[in-house]
Amino acid sequence: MEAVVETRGLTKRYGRTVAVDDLSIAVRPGRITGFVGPNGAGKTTTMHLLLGLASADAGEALVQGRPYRALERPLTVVGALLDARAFHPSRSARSHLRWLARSNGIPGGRADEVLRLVGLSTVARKRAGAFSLGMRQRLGIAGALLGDPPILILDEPTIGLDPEGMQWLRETLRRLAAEGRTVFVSSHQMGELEDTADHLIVIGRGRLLADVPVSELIASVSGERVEIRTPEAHAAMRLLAGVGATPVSSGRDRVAVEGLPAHRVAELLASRQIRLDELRTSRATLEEAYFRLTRDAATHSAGPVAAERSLA
Amino acid sequence: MTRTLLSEWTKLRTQRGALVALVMTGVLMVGFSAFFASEQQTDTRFAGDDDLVQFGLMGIAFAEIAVVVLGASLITGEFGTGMIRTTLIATQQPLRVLVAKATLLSVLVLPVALAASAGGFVIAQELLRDNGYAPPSYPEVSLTDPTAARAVVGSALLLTAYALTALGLGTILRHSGATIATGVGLLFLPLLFLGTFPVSFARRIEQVTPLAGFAIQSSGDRMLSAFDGRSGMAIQPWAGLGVAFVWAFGALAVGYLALRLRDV
Repeated sequence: MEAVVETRGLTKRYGRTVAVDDLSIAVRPGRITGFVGPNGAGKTTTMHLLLGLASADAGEALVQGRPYRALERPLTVVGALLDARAFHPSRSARSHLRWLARSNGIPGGRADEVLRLVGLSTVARKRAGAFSLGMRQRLGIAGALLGDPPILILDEPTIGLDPEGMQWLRETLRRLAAEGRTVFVSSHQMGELEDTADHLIVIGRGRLLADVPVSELIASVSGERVEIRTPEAHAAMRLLAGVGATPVSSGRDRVAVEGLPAHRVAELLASRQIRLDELRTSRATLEEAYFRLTRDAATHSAGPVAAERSLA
Repeated sequence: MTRTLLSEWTKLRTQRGALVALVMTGVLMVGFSAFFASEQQTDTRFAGDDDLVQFGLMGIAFAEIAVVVLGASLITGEFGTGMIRTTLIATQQPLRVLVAKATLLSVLVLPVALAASAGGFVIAQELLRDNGYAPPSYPEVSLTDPTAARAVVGSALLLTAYALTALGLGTILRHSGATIATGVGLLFLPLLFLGTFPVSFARRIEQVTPLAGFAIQSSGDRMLSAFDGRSGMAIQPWAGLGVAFVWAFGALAVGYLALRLRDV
């Protein structure tokens, strides 16, 4: 698979702060790539650089191997959602999409099509200024889909969405990725992408921290953990420690075990006839993995703030 | 380029504020030209001293505020909402966007301003005659007189230049309030200074600020007879209008550079 969105040694400074620091990433088609990092990590700046809205101090940002500014009819190549408030308040949703369509020679009828796609047909002629944040996000996504582009770059599309909207967005993104499109989605909340993204690019203070499949990231941070409940906690712990596992008491009759798969724990206890009332396995959540990864890079706790520009 | 023009036209068509400002330009031009004319009384001591052509186009002092608002509204709203990013993602060349906006702005302002200048002029001449501006001291002036025609067409062009200046300023300043304040200040502050500075400096103001454009309204040998009593043109009519357009294109050029070099 060839990367269709990539950066090489990308660097962007604002004054003395380095917002994006020698960042090299590659985003591939056919899957959802999450772009995560704490606020101020440089996600928005990276996306702006990819879209030619900001110019890099060093390195390059490429779309289909070319700078965004060199694309012909760019909306048919990349669909972008940047800021959900970016509409003229008095213009209707339909008029907004129409001027956008015109700029790239997209037929006006496509505006109504994407409005239907995002479920805004009934409010197509209403002022966008009266829309809720969730509706604005849908309108923004409609704008991104306008040119039926093979690449989607979405900055924090989940902000303001209600649970139903989140569900809709997940399904939409999965469908788009399944169609072979490249879906690049940023979020500062890892949990939101846990069930959605296939691959993750994690950045902190403008630097790349991880570029891995979601499953691998979780595994890299924490192995499987088994929790058991038994009235004979002491005996169980002695037994498990004896085979090389690391049991930790986590309550009067509870023990947490690391370093041994669940079925081995059950077998061992059964062989000594230690009563087992409950056994469950738990995995580190993506959130935990993310916290461990970004702890050192968190801009809030250490060093100068690598400003992800707040774009009012 | 056609696509960008069509796109910007769709934007403009669906932006209520801009349409209101365009209508206001016409209304203010006609209304205040008539109002000034109805208030202007002849002074028999200086019979024949007033410039009837210019007196018929005084509404420009208010219409220019409306065109500044209009010119600014074409771009500052986009900066205010962040929509400028969507615009520049769709059309990556800032030059195209700015040229499209400037073209549409001119195409809209010019005919409206021309109709309003002509209409206001005709009404104003009637009212001036009622106020004693009559032959023999004041021969009748009509739209077909060369100086009157020049003043009417020139006023429409001057309003277009001011609108373009505001568009350029808005692209530089990226803020509605700041742009309107700067634009209106640029047009009115020189007027305030005219009376307070020595004559030589005042003439310089009339030559180099956008105010120079008012020379196109003169049919006599004085530039702003309503504001200063000095005789002699500080700058010739078409040259004055040219200065106003230098300001317009200068503001647009700096605006383009700002759009090109500064991140949005």
